[in-house]
Amino acid sequence: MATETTLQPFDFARDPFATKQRGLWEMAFQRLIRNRLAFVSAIILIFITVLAISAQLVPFIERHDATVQQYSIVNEGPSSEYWLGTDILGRDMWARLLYGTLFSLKIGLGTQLIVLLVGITIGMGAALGGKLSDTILMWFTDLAYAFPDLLAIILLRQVLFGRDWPIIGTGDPQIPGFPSAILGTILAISLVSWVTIARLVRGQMLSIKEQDYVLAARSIGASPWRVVRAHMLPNTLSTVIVSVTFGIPLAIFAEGALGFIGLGVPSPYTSLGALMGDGYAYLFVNNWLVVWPAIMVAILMLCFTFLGDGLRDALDPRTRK
Amino acid sequence: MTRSKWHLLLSMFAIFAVLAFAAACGDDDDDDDDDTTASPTTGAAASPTTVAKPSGTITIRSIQFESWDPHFSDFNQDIEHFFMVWRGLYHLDKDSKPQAAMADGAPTVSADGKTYTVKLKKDLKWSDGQPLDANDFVLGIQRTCNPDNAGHYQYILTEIVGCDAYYGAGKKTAEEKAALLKAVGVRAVDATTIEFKLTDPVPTFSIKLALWPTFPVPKHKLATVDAKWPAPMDNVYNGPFKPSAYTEKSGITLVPNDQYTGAVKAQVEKIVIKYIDDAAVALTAYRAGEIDATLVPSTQLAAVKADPTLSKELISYPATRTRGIEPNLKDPTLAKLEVRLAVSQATDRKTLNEKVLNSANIVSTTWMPPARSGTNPTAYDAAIGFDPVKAKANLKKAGYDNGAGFPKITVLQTDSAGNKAIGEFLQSEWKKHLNIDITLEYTDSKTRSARFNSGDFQIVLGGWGEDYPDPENWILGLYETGGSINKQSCSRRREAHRRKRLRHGSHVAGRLPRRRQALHQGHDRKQEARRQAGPRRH
Amino acid sequence: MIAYAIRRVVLMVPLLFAVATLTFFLMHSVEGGPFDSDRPISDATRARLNERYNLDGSLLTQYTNFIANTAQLDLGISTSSNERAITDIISEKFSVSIQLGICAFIFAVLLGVTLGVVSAMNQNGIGDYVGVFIATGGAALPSFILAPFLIILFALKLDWFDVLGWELWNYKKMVLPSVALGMLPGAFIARIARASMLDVLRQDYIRTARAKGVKEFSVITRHAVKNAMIPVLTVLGPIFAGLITGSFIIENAFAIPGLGNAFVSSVLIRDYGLIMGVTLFYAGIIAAMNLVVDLAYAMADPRIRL
Repeated sequence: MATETTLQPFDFARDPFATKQRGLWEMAFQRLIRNRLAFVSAIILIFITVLAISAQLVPFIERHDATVQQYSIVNEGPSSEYWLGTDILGRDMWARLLYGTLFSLKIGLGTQLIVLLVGITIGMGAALGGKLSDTILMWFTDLAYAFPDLLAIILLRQVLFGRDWPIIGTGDPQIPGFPSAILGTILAISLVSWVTIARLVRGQMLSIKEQDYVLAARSIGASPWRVVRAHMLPNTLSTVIVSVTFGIPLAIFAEGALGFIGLGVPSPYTSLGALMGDGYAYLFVNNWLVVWPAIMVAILMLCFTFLGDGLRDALDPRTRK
Repeated sequence: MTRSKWHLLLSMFAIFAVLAFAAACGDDDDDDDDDTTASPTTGAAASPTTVAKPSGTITIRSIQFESWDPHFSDFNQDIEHFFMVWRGLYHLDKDSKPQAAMADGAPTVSADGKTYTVKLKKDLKWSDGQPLDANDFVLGIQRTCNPDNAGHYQYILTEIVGCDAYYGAGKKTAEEKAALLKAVGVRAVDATTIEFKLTDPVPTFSIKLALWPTFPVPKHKLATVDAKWPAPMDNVYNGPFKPSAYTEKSGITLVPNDQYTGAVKAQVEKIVIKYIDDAAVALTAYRAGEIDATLVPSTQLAAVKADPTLSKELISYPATRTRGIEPNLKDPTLAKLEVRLAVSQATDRKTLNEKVLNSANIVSTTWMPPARSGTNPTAYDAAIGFDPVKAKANLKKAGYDNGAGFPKITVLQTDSAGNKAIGEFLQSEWKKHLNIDITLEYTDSKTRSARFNSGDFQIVLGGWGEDYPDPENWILGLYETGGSINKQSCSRRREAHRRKRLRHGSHVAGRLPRRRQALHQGHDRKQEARRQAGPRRH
Repeated sequence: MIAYAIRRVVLMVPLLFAVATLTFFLMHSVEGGPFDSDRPISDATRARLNERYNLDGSLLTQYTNFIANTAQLDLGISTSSNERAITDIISEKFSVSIQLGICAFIFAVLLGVTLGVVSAMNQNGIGDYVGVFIATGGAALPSFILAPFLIILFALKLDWFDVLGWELWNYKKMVLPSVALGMLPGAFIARIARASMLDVLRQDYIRTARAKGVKEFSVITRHAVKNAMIPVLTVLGPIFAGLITGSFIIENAFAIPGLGNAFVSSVLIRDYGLIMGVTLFYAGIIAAMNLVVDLAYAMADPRIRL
């Protein structure tokens, strides 16, 4: 019994070392909660997401069918029956806005998921895989970057839409909630936007690779994988998270811009970008049409920004309060 | 399209809604992207009507022309430019009647109607002071017929002897081409007399002599029919204006051409044409006073009408453009007459026009615009007009009771706010009345046109605008199978009128006899139109 | 580093070649060609037109011709634009886009760096919130909505600026397009700058500098900002390339005859020569810009060995 309580040399170091790995995320979460702006943003984002999803499931929240057109009540302002008014075809703007929000969130998150996977893989491969791998991967990154986005998206759209690809397909969605209109758009946008992350990750990793603590970890014999996982990835993460949280609204914008040049999502699907584009076309006729989606986009943008900043601060191992 | 095809058309006639402080100029409607065809009468507004000394500047909106060559181009905005700077033998007045321009009076027509002789005015000059004579006009006709120039509007001159043969000789040797060129039935009898030989008596020929494919060629600039047409600032002009500055995609500035001797003199010192692609941007610029005339996109029409100032400045006039949907008759579902009837009868054109298109159009169930032919727009209402009960019955007859088993149908269209609303309206209405689902597919206009022409579509949102102001053009365009103008759908004239028409493919079986018949019909309708005091576009 | 630069320049040749090849074949695989309109033209006319614009022959022949001509810097003529030489069109349009792009870039960098630094120095304070709010608020709307809003507010209601066009040294025509174009990258720079600045401020050498008694202003400007700008530099290159190559939406909103507008319309009207020309031009600019950034990156951060 006594031996168990006997202090051993270096025991003082056991606790910090043992909690270190677990503690990074826990401490980050604690810090995130303490950052009021980021915390409120996260709550708002969760609320909007839940609202948008439940509108598709619960008629009570959707209030009116987003696709039903009533020509006797077109272009009405907000009222107790139609909270946000009606559009040019007499559809309920509340339902349309939630529908468009969900679509845009799927686009934004889906795009960034692919961007994150592709970008980190390529960026890491380039930074850590040796000179040849760096040259080849960065050449491909440069190629993807040099290829004009718009042309790429138009071409990809042409290739992806209306053909019977696996997963994307033309018929019923094979991934629930992700019909081909969404998947095609997600793929088209993410295939032109992973480059930024890849370059960012590579640059960051190249810089970190030479840092003292990485050299120290390597010199005490830490495995390369451990060095990457425990030291390099977390330190790269802060930059990546800023970029990703910013990338979500950017992907939402990009989808809207596609509609602006006449390559939008086909009705009855609609997105915040499409709603804004339509609202812009009917500016001065019914200003509400552009105001609501613009407010929603602005809220999403601000929340993702604050959340991203909060996450960055929280994940930064050097942050001390 | 092939003769086996039927056309089911929901069409619309156009009204131009133009905001103007001063002279109005027919302009593009950005509301539909598929703007490719031409109107001969636009640009007339640039030649005002009094003889006062030119004064002031007018700034108007247009979009960048694609070609400066009148013997080649078929784009509406190009042709608008051509009419400001060049003149043919005749010029169409605001009633679309040909009046002598470069010609000295009406043409002399031979007894069989196949030879037209036109005298030129004396001492005509190009803007650089060089003489303009009969040979310039002959060269102009030859240039349009020239296969190497590959002009899009050669079909307008199809009745000139030898023009078709020459135009079709693209693959032949230079010697053969030279021989065919000589055989084209146009010649300069003397410096001021031109003679045209026609294959048939064509009463509309003097209208055609007012159109851009017959404009003269400055032979001191272009020695042969194969020479390249000079760029705006290098060219010479015989119209009321000539360019004084030009920047691509930015704008062109026109000043009066002091060599122009036409009856209608330039009234302004300067026309500044600004190229603005987006009609909504142009409307904002108009509101800010940066341009003096623009076209109102249909999406904003309600706001303009509601605005106390703008509503007073709004000028509306009917345009000769019809829009509708066209089903592909090779599609097994749409090949059934009952299906097409059902779809037509399930379309509430009146509501579409009033609610979706801000009453910018005139509802119709016939292709022919009343402004051109005086036809009754409601003529076919009983057969194909809105009637949900009949629609359901027809769908049942076709074997799809209450939409059961109806295959998925895709509507091909370009994506613009106005088109989108039409597609969404149809989607919702057909679901409501027929319980059928349609998919909308958005493409750019080139893809849409390519698939339209190759028959790779089910239903396409299309339309038709005239090339020259005569019912003949409509009838040939609609009925002449395989004719170069059949099935085209775009002009930038705003649609105003929506209608549907069913037509048997067998009607066009005999092409030539059919055409004659159509011509007669056309003349009848023209007479009818003349008797009517209906509104006309200018 | 010189060897590295040379290697990168050499690598640009296959890069441009790959871009040209990809673009060429993908572009031709898209339905609809330059002469398609709802008025179908006869096969004979199409053949003549294809011949005139060197679009005849098999795709492979066209491709080899194109590569051979491009190698001699001959990009051919445009199927639109009155048959102008493509190099003329690009240089004319680019001269407008680069003016607008530089103005927008200056605006974006000034806005971004100022807001980023101010925010970081007042982390979680009023200055931080104000800075972040301005940065995100300005970028909270996509440019196709932001531009019309700016126009309606500042050109229509207040009448401070013009709606249409671009003219160098005419502030009425310069301010709105530059702001509308530079806002989003400005916000992005602000966020990167803030994050990076926070990062740097916690580094030991800053503490050391402060401990040495270096003045706070000097710490910020000479030590902190200089090092914090490294991540900013990585994004500046692509941002600059993106801005000077023109934005379709901004050029469309202000009716500015720039390269972005010309490029989008060339894609939509299938002006193959112009598409190829602009694509190669863009690719060259972007590749060059990336190279410059990587070199600048290496110079600013001596720890990076190229």
